[in-house]
This record gives sequence, C-alpha cells and structure tokens, in this order.
Amino acid sequence: MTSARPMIALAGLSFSYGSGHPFVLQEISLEIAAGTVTALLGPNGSGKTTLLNIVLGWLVPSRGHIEILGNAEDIRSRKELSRLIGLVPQDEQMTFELSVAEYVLLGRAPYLALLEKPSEDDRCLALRALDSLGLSDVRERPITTLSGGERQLAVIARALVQEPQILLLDEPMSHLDIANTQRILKVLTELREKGKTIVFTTHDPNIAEVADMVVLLKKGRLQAAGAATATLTAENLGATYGVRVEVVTIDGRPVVLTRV
Amino acid sequence: MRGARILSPLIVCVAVVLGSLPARTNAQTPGSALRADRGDKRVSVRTEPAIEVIDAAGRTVRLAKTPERIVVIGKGPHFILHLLYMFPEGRRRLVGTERRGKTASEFLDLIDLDFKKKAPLGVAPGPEAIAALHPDLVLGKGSSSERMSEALAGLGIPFVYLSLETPEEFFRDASNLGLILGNETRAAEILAFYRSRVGRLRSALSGIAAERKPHILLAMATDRGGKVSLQVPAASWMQTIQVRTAGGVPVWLDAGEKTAGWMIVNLEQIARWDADKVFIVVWHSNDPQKMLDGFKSDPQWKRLKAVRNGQLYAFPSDIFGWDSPDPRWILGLTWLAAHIHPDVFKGIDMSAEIRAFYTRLYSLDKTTIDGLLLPRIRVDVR
Amino acid sequence: MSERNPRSRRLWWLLGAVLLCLAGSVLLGRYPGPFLTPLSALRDDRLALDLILNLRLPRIAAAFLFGMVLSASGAVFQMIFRNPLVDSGFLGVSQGAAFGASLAIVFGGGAAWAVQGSAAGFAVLGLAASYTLARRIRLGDWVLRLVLAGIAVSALFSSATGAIKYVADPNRHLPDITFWMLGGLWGITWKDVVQVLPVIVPCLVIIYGLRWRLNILSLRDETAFSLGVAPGRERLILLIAAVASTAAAVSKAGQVAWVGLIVPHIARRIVGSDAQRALPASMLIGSVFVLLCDDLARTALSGEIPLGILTSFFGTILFLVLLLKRKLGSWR
Repeated sequence: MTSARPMIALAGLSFSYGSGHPFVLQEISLEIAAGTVTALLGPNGSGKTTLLNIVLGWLVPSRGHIEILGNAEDIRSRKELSRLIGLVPQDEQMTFELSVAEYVLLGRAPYLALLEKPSEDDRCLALRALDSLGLSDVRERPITTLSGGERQLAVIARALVQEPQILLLDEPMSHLDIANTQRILKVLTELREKGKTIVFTTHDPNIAEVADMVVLLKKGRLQAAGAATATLTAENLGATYGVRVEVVTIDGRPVVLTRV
Repeated sequence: MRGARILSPLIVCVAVVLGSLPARTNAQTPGSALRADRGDKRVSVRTEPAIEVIDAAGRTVRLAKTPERIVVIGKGPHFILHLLYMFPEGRRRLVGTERRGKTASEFLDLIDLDFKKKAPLGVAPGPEAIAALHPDLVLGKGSSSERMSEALAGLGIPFVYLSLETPEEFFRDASNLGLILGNETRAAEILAFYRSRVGRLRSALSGIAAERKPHILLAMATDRGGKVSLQVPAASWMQTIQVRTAGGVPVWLDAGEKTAGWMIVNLEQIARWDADKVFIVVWHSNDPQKMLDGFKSDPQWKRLKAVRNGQLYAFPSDIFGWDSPDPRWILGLTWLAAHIHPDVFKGIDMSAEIRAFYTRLYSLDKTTIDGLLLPRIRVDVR
Repeated sequence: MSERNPRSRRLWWLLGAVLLCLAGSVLLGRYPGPFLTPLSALRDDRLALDLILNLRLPRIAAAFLFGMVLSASGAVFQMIFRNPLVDSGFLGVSQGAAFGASLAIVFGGGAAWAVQGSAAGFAVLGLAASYTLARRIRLGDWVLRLVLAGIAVSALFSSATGAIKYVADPNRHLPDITFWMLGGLWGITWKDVVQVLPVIVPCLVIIYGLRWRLNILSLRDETAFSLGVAPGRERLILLIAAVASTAAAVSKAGQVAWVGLIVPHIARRIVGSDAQRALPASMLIGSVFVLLCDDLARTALSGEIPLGILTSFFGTILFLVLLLKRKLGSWR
C-alpha cells in the first residue's frame, strides 16, 4: 500500500435491498490504491457484483460510506462520476445490431450534452480505442456477430473511450477460453501501467492471482484482503468456498488446485 | 423417443382442431321436439301439429297449438315488436322482450301502457332467462339468434326467425305471424294495406323510362364516433329497395355491393356521383335541420347539383326511422316516391298516409295520433 | 467512416421518396374521376380545387404526420424495451384509447371532442397506469416489470371495452365503435390537424433530438448509468413523448395497427440499427407507409376502406416477407 490517498475507500459498508431484506454486504472496510488491479473473489452470491455496483454509484450503501479520491461519492454529479468510473458489465445486453464502432462510440456519452451528437473527435477516439485492443478489422461488423472474446474486448473499448480513471469489470473472463482470457488480462495489465485503477470480480482464484490485491468475500463479509500470495492460502480459500484446495507455489506465484 | 416428440404436438393440433369444430346437432326441425316419436322404441302416438310455417331462415317450424306466451329477442327487437303489435293477439300474448338501449320502449310505451311490465329481459339473455318466462314461442331476427334457437330447441321451445329486410320477406313474415297467431284475416289486412300502396306506386311509375329516372343519393349522416360521416346502405337493404321502388336510380350501387353494411363515402366520391337528389337519413337524436344547414353552408356542398337545385332533403322520421326494416318502410317509400317524382305523385298527402298507417295497422285513435305522434314527425326538412 | 456514408445517403433517398409520394398523393382521389386527377381539373374546376385544398391536403398531412408518429413511437418502444416486437399495444396505450373512445360513444353522447379527448386521455392513462404498476412489481429488471404491467393494463382495458361493446346499442353505437377501432381518416379537416400539431411536433422534436441517447438507453441500466445517463428519467421522457403523440394521433385516426411494429424493422434493415439513423428512417418510412395506405383507402373503391385494415394487411405481408427472407431485424 502506498502512502498516497487511496483511490477508493470503503468504511464499514453494509448494504441490503430494503428493510426486511437480508444484508448482502456487511461491514466491508477496504482501501484500493490508485494504479492497482484488485480482484474481488468469492463464491456465487457473496456480494461481489453488489460491491461493484456500490463503487459505481448505482447502489447506495445502507450503512457506512464510500469515498472516491477522498470525496464522498454522493457529492459528485452523475456526469462527473461517469468520467471517472467505467463499467464493463457481466452481460451487456445487445439487442440491436449496432456495429462495433457505433457501440464503442456510445462510451463518449459522458462528454456530450443531452442533445449533442458525437463529433469527429469522438469518432477518432473510438477508433483509437478499437485499435489499441486489436479490433480494427471488425469495427464495421454488427457487434452481435463477434465471438465471446471479441465482444468482451469491444465492451472494454467502450468503457475505455470514457477515459475513466477507474475501471470496474464484472466477471470479465467467465465465458472465455484461455487465449481470450490471456488477452484480457494483458489489456488490464497494460491499463494498470497507464495508471488506471482496476477492480474486477471473478470466482476463479487462479485469475485473481494476477491482481495486486485480492479480496475474499463470503456471504457479504470480508474474509481476507491483501497481496495474492498472502490471501490465496488453502485455509482462506477453504473457509471461503467450503472445499479443500491445495495451493502450490510456482515461481513465487500461488497456483490453486482443487482436490477431488 | 424421437417419434413421440413429433407425435405429441401433432396429437395436440388434431385435438384442438376437432375440439373447435362446432357441434352440429340436427336443428332443422326444433319443433319436432314436441312430437312424440323421436326414434325411441316406445309406441308412438302421433299428434299432427296444428301449425306449420317455414320461417325466414328456411326452417320448417311446427307448433302444436297457438302460442300463448311469446318472447322476442335479437339485436333489433323493435322491428319484430312493431310488426307483432299489429296483431291484437300478438300484443296480448307478448310476455317478454330483450331490451338494449332506448329503442322499442319509445313507441310501444306510447301505445301500450303495460309494455314496461312485459318482463323485459336484460341484454342478450341466455336460454335459462328466456325459459324462466315459460314461453311457448320465441321470435328472433338476425344471426346472433342462431345458437339461441338450437339451445331453445333442446328445451322444447320453438323458435321462429323473421327477416323483414325486403318487402317480399316482410309479407312472408307477416303471413307467418298470422298463421302462428291464428289470425290470418288480420295478416291479410296488413298485406293488403302494404300491397295496395306498393302497387299504386308501381303502376304510376310504369310508364317512366329508365333514362328519365332521377339519380338519387341516399346516405345516413351520423356524428357519432367523433366525426360527421356519410354512409351509404348495402345494395340488398331496405333503403336501396325503397329508392328503386320509388322510381329512382341509386348512385351508390357499386359501393353498396361491396359490403353487407353501411359504407362510408367521402365528399370527393359524392361530388363525383353528383346525384340529382340527395336524401340524408339523420339519426333522430340529431337535429335534421341543423345537419342539413351544416351541409348547405359548406362551400363544397354548395357546388353539388342537388344542393344548387334545392333537392337536398332530410329523410323523414318519427320515433323510428322510415328507412329501416321497421314496418314504417311503407311510409318512407311513399314519401320518397312523392319527392322523387313530384309531378307523378301530386296527390299524395303525407298526413293522411300517416294517419291511415297508425289507424289501420295499430288501431290508434285520432287523439293519440294527433297528440303524441304527429308532433314528433318531421316530414319536410330541406 | 467511409462506410457510414452509403447509409446516410440512403436517408436522403428516403426523404426524396417521401416528397415524391406527397406530391403524388395530392393528385389521387375520387373526383372528378377515380384515381388520378388531371392537372387541368385544378385549373378549370373550382370544386376540384376546393376538394383538394379542404379535403385532400389535410388528410394527406394527417396521414403523413400520424405515420411519422406511430413509427417513431414504435422505434422508441422497441429500443427502450429491448424488444423488437413491441409497440404501443404493450403499454395499454391503444387499448386505453379504444376504451376511452367506446366510453364516449356509448355513454358520453359521442360528440367529436368527447370521443377524441377521451381516447387521448385514456391512452395516456394507460401508460401512467402501466408505469405506476411497474414500480410496485418486484420481479426482474425494469423492462420486464414494465412489460408485465403493460400487458396487465392492456388486458384490463380490453375487457372493459368488450363490456362496453356488449351493452352498446347494436344499431347505433356498436357500428361506430367498430368503425372507430378499424381506424380511418375520412373526416379529417384542417381543424383536426391544427389541434394535434401542438402535441405532435414537440414530441417528435424531443424524440428526434434524443435519438443517439436511445442507443444507450437500450443497454443495461448499470451501463447507461455508468455513461452518465439517468436511465429511468430519460426513458420516461422518451416514453411520454412517444405516448402523448401516439395518443393524439390515435384520437383522430382510430386504431391503426402494425405501423409501430413493422416500420422500425424495415428502417433498421435499410440504414442499420444505430438509432441516430434508424429513427429518422423509421419516421420517413412510416409516413410513406401510412400515406400510401390512406391513398388506397380513399381512392381504390367508391366507399372508404378502413385504414386500420390496410395497414394491418400490408404490415403483416411485409412482416412475413422479412421473416422468411432472413432473421427478423436482429435479436438473440
């Protein structure tokens, strides 16, 4: 942890969907530094997506508070937030056949007034984002015809065009094969080099391993948080998932194996 | 496994198709429910039915005796009721009628103080409600009565269709009623009244060549449904027949033939027809004079031949229109003839015709006619 | 960027086609002869000129406007509900209008202002009811809730209309209700056009102005939010604009079906799914579609053919053609 002010700070955060509903998150306290990659790891239903949505500002915590860059989230306007935080959701709904370029262009919305249309500059930015992710060849194809990996990259491109400082990704690699997974991880690492703060959720410990900080969640509570090597231990994972795992170290990096 | 997957939806489809086929019972002779032999093995005692008629739907209906309790149903019960009330027996023996909106009550209330009490059935009564009145005859008009007749046949209640749509069918229905009510003399009187007038018209018009017959537009004007619309009647309807019989050439036949109902025509088409005379049927809830004035002040209507020559008329009306299958059609026909060929029918006095109608057909006295009916009749709106 | 130009060019072609159809429609009618009116008639026959100015032109203007409104609304509904098979019938709008009109015809005396006002009022009420109901449902996301609520409200209005038809006088009211529900522009005057313009024009302007945002509103709520859009509020604005203009159109024209459903599909087929182009294309295609159908309605026979029948007929044919040629529009 650096001594600089954290990018994202959660203090005593709890969330439920309303009175009478159980708490989905309980007493989460966390600090995420700028320019780091954080993985939220946990079984299904542990509250990962909810936490992400709270950081996004879409959900408001029931208790505790959240600060982004030192300011409480709610004092920022939606527009400011949108220039700060980008979201790559788990299942982007693409009912209509926008072309890839048209879809990525939507990411410029935070910089456009209500009735304003994207300009040539906006289009150039979109094309550049596509280029950087290797999607230039498919930019005129309907987005619905892309493969899973390409589609995910397109969604990331759309989020990048927002020029955010924080990028939130919800299970970005859950439907991808090894090649595409590596592609995405490579992109995320490159973004970190550029100083972006990245938070992504996953249920695969071996993917979480690449992050600077791994946060283990179980039933809405923080099980453990810290560097990958420290957090990804057999005890922690066993306690979180309720199964026995074996953690071996290869080149100093933890590798999680399941025991059948 | 594979076969079952194909088979089960197929079975479902077949079942749906079979289930939706209407159950066809033998409804040709519902009166036969009254006959003792129905194919059972009992020793049958044949009682010959006292009355046998062929109704408007072509069904042969047999009645064991003159009905004492008559119920009238259908979409426009007043057409039948007005005919029924020409027979004193019909009037006496009516026990119930369907009531939809304010229709039959207005005229019949005037001439029959007991009419309200005739146990009115609600809208579209079911067979049980009808059976509760213990009728021994049900009269109906129109296709909505079809299923009713079958249901009533199952209960042993005979059903007779009336049509009234054309003069010939009207005569046939009146004769049937005379037969059923056991008063064929009265039926003959009624037919004589109508036939004499129609015959008089026909013979007066027989000498007129086709080219000399004026082109007539008859249209109904309504402002319901939001806008004033002009609709022409179907080719087979009473209105068209009235125009023809009165010696006019209906201009709307090509439009009228397309539908079995009213058909909206726009002003362009009316201008194209440019009929010699225009008769507008106005709903009695609208003011005919206002309606006509509205047309006459329209700059486009002013250019029409009929309006220029002052040949735009409102069809007369009293409580009920004279242009429908109502028995008043004879008055409408007479009036129409007098206006289409005024030179031929100079001598027609509409007041006298109206009086004759109500006196001879409904046995109303002068006071009732002059006091209650004549004030509501508007004959010369132009 | 070079790819975009052919699609934008197609928009201009569409505009040209629209203008051509408008010009042609002015010369179609029943007077003095069926179908084409010779230009000499305009010069010589005063009645012909009057008929064209007072009868044909407002009717053409109305058909044009209503076609635009219905297809723009259809495009808005389809994108907001992320469902290519949605139109105003799903929100209780058309059923509400039918109910309002029937109510006014049977119980309200049937005057023009009563029928139209009632139809428009209940159309908007239909949306309001669907929206309010949707907020209380706790099942699925916003779109599903609104569709469920809309179906319930539509069904409620339909059965209420059925009840009214049942007690209606079959000789007076029922034919009027039936004819209203079939749709028709046979009584349109300049007054009618002027009455709806203050509602229709602003609504169309709003929808046209927000057309790029419409793309974003078809994404998930969270994504739209992350892009700085207020998904609930902006969708509501668009919905209100779509429904208000539809209500105004339906109040004058009765029920004109299938336009809102099928025209956006055709538009997307021609210019792509980006609402920035698809929306104007929908408006242009819709205006031509209704205009041509209405031309047919008033010219083909000496009597009027109800407009709703023609739009349904041709709409379903186009639907089948699209269905059989390729997958309809695009959805997974």
